[in-house]
Amino acid sequence: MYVFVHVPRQSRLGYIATQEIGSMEPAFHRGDLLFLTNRVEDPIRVGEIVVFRIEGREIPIVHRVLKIHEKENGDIKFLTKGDNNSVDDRGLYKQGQHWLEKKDVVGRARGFVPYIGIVTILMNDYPKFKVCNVSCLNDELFNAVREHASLL
Amino acid sequence: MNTVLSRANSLFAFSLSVMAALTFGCFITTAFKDRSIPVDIHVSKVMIKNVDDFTGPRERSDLGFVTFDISANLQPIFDWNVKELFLYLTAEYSTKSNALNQVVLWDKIVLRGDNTKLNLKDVKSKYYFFDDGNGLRANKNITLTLSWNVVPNAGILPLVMGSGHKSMAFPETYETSKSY
Repeated sequence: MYVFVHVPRQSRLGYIATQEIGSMEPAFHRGDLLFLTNRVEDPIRVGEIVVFRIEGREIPIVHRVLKIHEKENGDIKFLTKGDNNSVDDRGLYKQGQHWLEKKDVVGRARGFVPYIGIVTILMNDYPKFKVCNVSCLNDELFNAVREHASLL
Repeated sequence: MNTVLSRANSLFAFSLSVMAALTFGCFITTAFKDRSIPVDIHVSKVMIKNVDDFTGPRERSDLGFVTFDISANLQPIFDWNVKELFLYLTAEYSTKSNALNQVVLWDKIVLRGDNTKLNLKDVKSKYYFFDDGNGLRANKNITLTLSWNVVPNAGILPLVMGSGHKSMAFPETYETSKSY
């Protein structure tokens, strides 16, 4: 599932809007909003939904952790898989890469609100919608100004 | 408020506010609920082999085979704010090379409305139980637990572990026959 990320650089809490593909269905669909945290000290454990970026690719992926191997000093390597996919993500990783590491993690999904991102998706898929939105708002503004002007 | 457009606009804005309030209500009424239930896990068959890890790094690693039974009643977890439960069976153990290993052997999606009584017998693992190395042989302490990720209509996505786990051990020798 590819997502459109808004993760502010400094802060600990970020959010993601609008998934593009259904690899995490039926839990998340296109247009759902995920709330992420990015506390580095939180240990990565199986079952968690992580947002990670593959080296060299811009778009982050939101999948579930399937397997972890952690050394005593905290070095961890883990494998992910989308709920709706039949195979794990090794096919998505870089050529020769078999595991993800902590540095690849952008955040962890902690909360979720459905449907919010649908507006952004609509505006991206149908540019006419953006124009219509703006002109409707303009009409409203014009009418409101006119009403107030007549009261003066 | 005398044009169709301004009335439609107010109606739309009001609907959005109501939906936002309902969504927040869904979240706040279930945010602190305890979603744990007792789970029963049994292991019926265990075997171990040592082969090249064909799922990824091509190193000779231990491959475990586990057949298990799971039973649990998931009904108490479902409420108005639970859309789906993502169940997963985890095998947790430690080896000489890795202090902590967790492998998901099996998972299942249970949607609201599906049968909530889980009574599975003789289930083979869905995913290959490869170790990162040769740490499964004669490993006496592998803990199997059933956990679930609660996916709400809106709100927090908690990971809950069921109470009730099963300890198992792998044999000392590798299985050389083709059977399982």
